Amino acid sequence: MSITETKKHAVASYPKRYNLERYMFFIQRATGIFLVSYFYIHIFIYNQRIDAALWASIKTAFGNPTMYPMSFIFVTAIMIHGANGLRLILTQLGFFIGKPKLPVYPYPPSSIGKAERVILFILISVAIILIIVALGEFLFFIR
Amino acid sequence: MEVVFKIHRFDPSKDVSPYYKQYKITIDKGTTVLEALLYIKERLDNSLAIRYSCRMGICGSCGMRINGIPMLACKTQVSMLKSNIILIEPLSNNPIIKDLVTNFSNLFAKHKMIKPYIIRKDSELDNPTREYLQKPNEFFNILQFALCIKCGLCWSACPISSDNRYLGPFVLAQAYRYISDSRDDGYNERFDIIDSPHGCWRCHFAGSCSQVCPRGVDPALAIQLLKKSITTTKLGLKKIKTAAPVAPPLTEVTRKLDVPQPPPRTVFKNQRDSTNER
Amino acid sequence: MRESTLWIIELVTLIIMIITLPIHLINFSSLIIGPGYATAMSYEEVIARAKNLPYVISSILLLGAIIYHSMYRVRFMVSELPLSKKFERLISLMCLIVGIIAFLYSFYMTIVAILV
Ligand code: FES
Repeated sequence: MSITETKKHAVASYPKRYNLERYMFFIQRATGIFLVSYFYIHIFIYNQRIDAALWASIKTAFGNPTMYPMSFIFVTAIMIHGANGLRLILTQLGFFIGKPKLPVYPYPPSSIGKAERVILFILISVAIILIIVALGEFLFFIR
Repeated sequence: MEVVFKIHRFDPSKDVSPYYKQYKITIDKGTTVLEALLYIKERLDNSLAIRYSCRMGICGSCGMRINGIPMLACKTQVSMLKSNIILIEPLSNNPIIKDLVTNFSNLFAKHKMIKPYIIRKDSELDNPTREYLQKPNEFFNILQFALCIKCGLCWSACPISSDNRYLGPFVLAQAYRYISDSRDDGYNERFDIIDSPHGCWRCHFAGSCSQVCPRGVDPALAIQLLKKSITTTKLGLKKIKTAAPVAPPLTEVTRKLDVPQPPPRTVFKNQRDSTNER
Repeated sequence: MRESTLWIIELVTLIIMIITLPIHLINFSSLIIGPGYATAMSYEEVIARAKNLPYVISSILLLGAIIYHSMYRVRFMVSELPLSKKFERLISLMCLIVGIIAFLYSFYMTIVAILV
């Protein structure tokens, strides 16, 4: 057990606004609701593939360029939901949240501390890179 | 410094709906929000209802939302908020009794449900004989969570607390504190309530509870560790621990050979000391 | 069922999703930027893909995992609303039924597509 002094001013003692994870929670929920509704439509439409005539009409209805932005939003939502979800799985299994320790003023919380933030930023940046790749692909497909 | 306090007012016996009242006061450099509120109550408007006791961040009764974030009024200096208009509201997710005072009985009932005390299978608690053995690292595992003052700030900050049956951050943190206590045997007794549909799986790790905690308890950490320990126990990776044994009776103490005898005492404080002279 | 049991099943489905969802996405993105992108979604190619066994197995796994995950979380979201206990049980049951119907329907359609 060692006691270290922290000169840096605490986030915890006088917070101005809520932490990043709280906003991520709302984003997660919003993308989740969107994904659930889109997913059921997605599998329902794709299940109509056995009938050649029906599939051709679906292709003209959904395969036109006005529907591409929707697909792109779907992929974007998957990326963000997945990246943040991966962090949630890891933290809920006890990784990157630190260990119980003797709290020393100004009590920086270890569960939303450095390790957790770093993992969040890494995953979100990977997601953003993948979103850019997906955007490139959609532009390629539309051209 | 002139500061405007915009205070939430609501008297259920008179008012139909809550309203805000503004008070302009001058504050010093170190004035806390609680002192400012007491000044308002004493000099400007004695109908303001606030709850406080220790004025030093120990009792946990002065929790309120200051500029939208739950904080202890006695621990927050007005100058640290860096704003000239300060919005004071009661804690959210609790029924309001009057002005800034909210009803905690729901929270305390939930706290009671998780049995916040040591449970043992043997009869040592009924007829205590000696202390339980606990290693320092086992103690430091639970110390952080044992510092909780039940001020309810985490409950107010949690985005899931609008669900009234959710156990809430500090209750789950206390559950983890007792489950992980090496002297405790109550895992099975607490498991049912923690594992209920409104128990620990309802936490989505928004982390606001840890951010607003005035004592560094870090309830989010406790809840994630609670989930981890339930998962690993369920998967059979970890056994349910057995409680630490009672310390064995003291056998005769012998001095180590290389430790020298203390010098004879020279100062006697009172008569009793001098009669017990070695 | 116990909440912790549901969570452990959820963990399994999450692992399945971590493996099969990237496969699914990479598969489709390689289709739409590949040489045959113009005919990638035509009836013949779709049916030809639906007969490809590794693709079918990974899709079915992904389907089951996502349906479980979505219904588990929808149940969470609903039970966070201030509802009565009875209504909450009803919602749980409905989530279960919707999930099973969606899975069985898609499974049936997959088999039909293989036999077409
Ligand atoms: S008055 Fe006791 S904690 Fe603020």
